[in-house]
Amino acid sequence: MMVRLLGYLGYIAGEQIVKIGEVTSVREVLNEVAKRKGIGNLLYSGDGIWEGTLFILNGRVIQNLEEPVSEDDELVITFPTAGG
Amino acid sequence: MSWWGKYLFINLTERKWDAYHVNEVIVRKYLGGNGIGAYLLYKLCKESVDPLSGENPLIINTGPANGTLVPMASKFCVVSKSPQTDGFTKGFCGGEFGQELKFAGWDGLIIVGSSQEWIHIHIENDKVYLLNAENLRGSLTSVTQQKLKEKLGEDIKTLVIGPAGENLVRYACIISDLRAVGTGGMGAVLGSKKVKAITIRGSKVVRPLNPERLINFVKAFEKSVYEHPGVKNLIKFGTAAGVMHLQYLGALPSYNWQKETFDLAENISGEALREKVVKDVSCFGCIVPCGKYSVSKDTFTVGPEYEGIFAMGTLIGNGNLNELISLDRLTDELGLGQIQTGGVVAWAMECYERGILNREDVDGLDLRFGNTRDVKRLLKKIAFSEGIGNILAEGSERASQILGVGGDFLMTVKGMEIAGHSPRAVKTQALGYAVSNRGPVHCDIRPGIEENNIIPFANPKDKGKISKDLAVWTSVVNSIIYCLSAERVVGLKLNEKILEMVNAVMDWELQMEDLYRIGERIYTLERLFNVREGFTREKDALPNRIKKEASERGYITTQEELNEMLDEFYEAFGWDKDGKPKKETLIKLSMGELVYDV
Repeated sequence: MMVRLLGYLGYIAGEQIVKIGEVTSVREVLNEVAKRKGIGNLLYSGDGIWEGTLFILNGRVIQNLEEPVSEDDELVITFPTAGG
Repeated sequence: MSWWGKYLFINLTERKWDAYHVNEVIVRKYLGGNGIGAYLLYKLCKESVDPLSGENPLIINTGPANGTLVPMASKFCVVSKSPQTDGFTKGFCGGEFGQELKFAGWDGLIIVGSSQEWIHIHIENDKVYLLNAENLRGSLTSVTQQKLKEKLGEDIKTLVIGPAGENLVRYACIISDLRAVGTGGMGAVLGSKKVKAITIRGSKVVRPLNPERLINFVKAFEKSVYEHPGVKNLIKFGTAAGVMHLQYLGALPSYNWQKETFDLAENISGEALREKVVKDVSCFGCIVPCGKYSVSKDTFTVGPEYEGIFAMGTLIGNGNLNELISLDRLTDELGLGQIQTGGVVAWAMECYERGILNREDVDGLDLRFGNTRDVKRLLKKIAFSEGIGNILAEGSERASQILGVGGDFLMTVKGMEIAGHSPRAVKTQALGYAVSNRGPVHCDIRPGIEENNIIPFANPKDKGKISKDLAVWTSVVNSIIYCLSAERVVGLKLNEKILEMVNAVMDWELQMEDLYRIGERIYTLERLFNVREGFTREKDALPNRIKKEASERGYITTQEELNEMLDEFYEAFGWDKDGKPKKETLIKLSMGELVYDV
């Protein structure tokens, strides 16, 4: 499946689009993405995911990391941004 | 110390100035910045005054954290009655002017009356000079600032208006160096007083009330700032990082809000902008260089920020990054508030594309979406109030009334064009646009907590109560004044970290409920100002398009949803069904002296 890493995630990963195979849930996708150099600390804070990290599966904001995924899906992972 | 207890009060009509003292009782009630600004405006601005008359005070205010060691505490605040909403307004600006004001020994400036001739106010610590500024009339903001620095020295800090402010464009902004007080039309307020510029140089030292306590706080704070991935994102891409985030959410407004995705979004994203960035810059004493010096073929700018990309990009159908940088620069040079300018231009473009306004009506311009060449011509016409520009200078709502067209697709609340976060998808933002005392902005009831799904996205449940907490939180943040860009680090609602900051800066021992009460009091006082001006629930509205036309992803906020959120919000604040603060609420908030005003 295709994963889009927006902003700083993509910058550190060196690519904004990564292909991931043989995963069945969003959590498994995250685990795969986190194996890339420098990405783990950006996604995880202690035991959990940084608050405000957003997951958009096929255009839909998802709440549950156990959400199933399939080969044709697109997952966008994006960081919190702020501004005044 | 963190606050001096005195403001410089300048009466332009009488050409006199003096110190205006604010005692600790007021500071404990309203903190500074936004809060004391609201207190001073309520006290000094009489009911129903014309915002563009000498009777309207303009208050330039610092917060207690400004000029101290606290990182991300560089902004200053400007408060007045808005010529766009005819109600309370406030705006915030980074850079160095606020700190210099503090270093000159003042917590702020209060400017009343109006001058007979164009002037430039220069302040050197306790000395004040009202200098003739006829030679600066009509000049662009960068030219004005350069001339002032040539005359007075490179180290002065500047605050100026452009041609738009001089010509009383209702959404004219104030520029300080390369940053702006964008919202509320305060450039026009300054223009109505015939003040082209304010310069300042200070040499006093802001001594912390309890240095050891403050240093301990700052050390822990700085560490948490650098750890946070959201801050790394901000440092790398600036607020422009939000473009693709919102695009994938289906909440990136385009073509005067006819759509909420933009087919050329990638071309003007934070990632694309990064290729144009030559330097990362920060405000005074800030450790997060979120400002981006970017260059195009023919110019440079600081930014564009996300809101600039929305206003001069997606909203007007412009997906060309070079043109975007050029338009960002041009609005700043002319002194036009960017969000509202984008809203006005987009509205005129939709009128043009629908054939409601023809080429003759708009002085021969071709106002199809995306035609940036003629947008530049139109911006100059607006700033100099020429031809169609003279009508559009009134804002889209007034222009619609004057021309008798385009009322169906006005994107305004309280006469002001809405900011760039979706009120269809983001329910806290929908309510925020409707109720914000200064008009439809994204900086009072903030969208981030919902745009990042920390609370359920696109769901109105409990959003009235949550929005109250957001309003209380930003009222405190905007009064101690640290940058909202720190929200991810410090938190998106009042918490122990913010309490610790306030107590460390002020050397106080406030409890959380005390701090929450301060935020409630400030927001309620702003509301009281508007109630005194005749504002009712009717003004807490949303544009028809938001309520009647769903976005591509199906997001919409209906009037019924808004009504429910409004009821919940008013009740949480202790206001009545019409949005008027109840007498018992005022007494609970130690504002009993204002009971007779309601």
